[in-house]
Amino acid sequence: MAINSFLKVERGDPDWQFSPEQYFGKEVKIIDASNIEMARNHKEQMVLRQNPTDKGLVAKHIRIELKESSELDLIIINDLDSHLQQIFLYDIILNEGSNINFGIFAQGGKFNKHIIQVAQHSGSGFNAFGLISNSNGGDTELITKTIHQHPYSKSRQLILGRAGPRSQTVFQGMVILNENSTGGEASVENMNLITGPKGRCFSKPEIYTNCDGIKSNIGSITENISDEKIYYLQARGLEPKLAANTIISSFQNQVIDLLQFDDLKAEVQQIFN
Amino acid sequence: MLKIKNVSALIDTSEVLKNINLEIKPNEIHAILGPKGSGKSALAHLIQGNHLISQTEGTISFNNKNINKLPAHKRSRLGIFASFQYPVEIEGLTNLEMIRATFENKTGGKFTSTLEESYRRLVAVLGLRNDFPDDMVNNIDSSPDECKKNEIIQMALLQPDLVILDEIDVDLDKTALEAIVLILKEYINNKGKSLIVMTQNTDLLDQILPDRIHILVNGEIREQGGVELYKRIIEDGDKQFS
Repeated sequence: MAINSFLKVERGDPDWQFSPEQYFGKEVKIIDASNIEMARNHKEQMVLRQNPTDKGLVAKHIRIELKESSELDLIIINDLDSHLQQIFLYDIILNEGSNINFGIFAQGGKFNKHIIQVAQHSGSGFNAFGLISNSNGGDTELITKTIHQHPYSKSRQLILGRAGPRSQTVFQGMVILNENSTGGEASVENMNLITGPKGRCFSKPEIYTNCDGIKSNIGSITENISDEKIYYLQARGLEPKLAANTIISSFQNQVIDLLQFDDLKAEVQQIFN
Repeated sequence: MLKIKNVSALIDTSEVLKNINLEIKPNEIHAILGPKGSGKSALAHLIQGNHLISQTEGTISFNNKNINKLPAHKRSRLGIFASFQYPVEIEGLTNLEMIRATFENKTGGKFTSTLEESYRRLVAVLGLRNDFPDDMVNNIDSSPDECKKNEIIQMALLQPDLVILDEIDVDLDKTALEAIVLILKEYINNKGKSLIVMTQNTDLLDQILPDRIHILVNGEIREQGGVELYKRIIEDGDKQFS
């Protein structure tokens, strides 16, 4: 299978201007495929650690299907070496009354892209949270497309991005509430922190509503780690480096604290600090 | 305690302070009055060590030590505390976490449960919500009043030797101001503590009764005095700035 042109990007000239519509249905060279299927009324907690070593631009595919009324807490911990270029595709199907808490913590890589597609049926819930970060001169991206196909489904995304010197993050979150999704709720929030010179964070949250009776919320904010903030903590006795680290770790902890287990929090904190 | 001799300063290329001379002794309360843009905040944060304000001339010494070249965190550890007129938001850091981090960093000691109780007591005394300690520092939903009270709580727990309050009275209602004045009076009653209050109005003076008053206009101290100047200012209100 050929690698399509949308993946052939130069660093510093990303394909961020494409909408998520243009990411899906493309063919990529998939070298690994996994399947997670949750039986009806079943509950499960999983952690997937991705520390790949494959060279070249390769993609890995994970298909996740939750049967009726099942629940899954899935945490993805992704830590890439600075020379790697990888794409992770997640196809998620949420059947009636099922719920997934999807935590994604992705960092590093020359090109580290995560593409999540979610199809939601009646009364299902998609709760995504996480942190994408790059501080080694590369590009870490998270692209989501969530389709509310049936009534009373809920989706919530809270994604943080952190870009270090000459690095970038991209978040594109598209939610479509189609004609049959009455009573649906959708929220997309993206907060970004630029922590070094020439760092860049691109953000494009979008919600499209095609029916009445929808609650939706959307927001995006990107900030630099400012001299003013560092001085504020410095004036209270913290050395500038410690002040900067405090600002960064506090920012990240907004999503790391959503992890349920302390050992998992510690693991993620170690990767991102 | 604090001696400022012939100090001038720039922000970028603008001269914001010109030939400032001040001496603050232990247990003294000084008030620096002046209109908006007169240089009060610049002076407060020059003393604190803000690197964005360049001291071009003169000497600042604290407890007989020249601190001209000391960065802000070292001045803080020596016992200088300048409050912020517009305290900045730190996303994800709670008020309690901040006070714990700054206390432990400054003192090298542990922020004990007793200190946390004192902290929560101050929160109550100042009429803040019970969940205020878990709010993010100066977050966008905080009222200016809450941000100012937060500065006072930090001051009370960090127990610096010299406190510089920059426009602490602005955005506070009468009740809030009274609560803050109570804490300030308790603070100044401790041996060896000094207070500088930067303000634009004279309402606060009546309550804290400063020992010395300095009028700052266009970055220069135009007039200094004691009780007599204080009385005149109370009578004249803001006319002295014009």
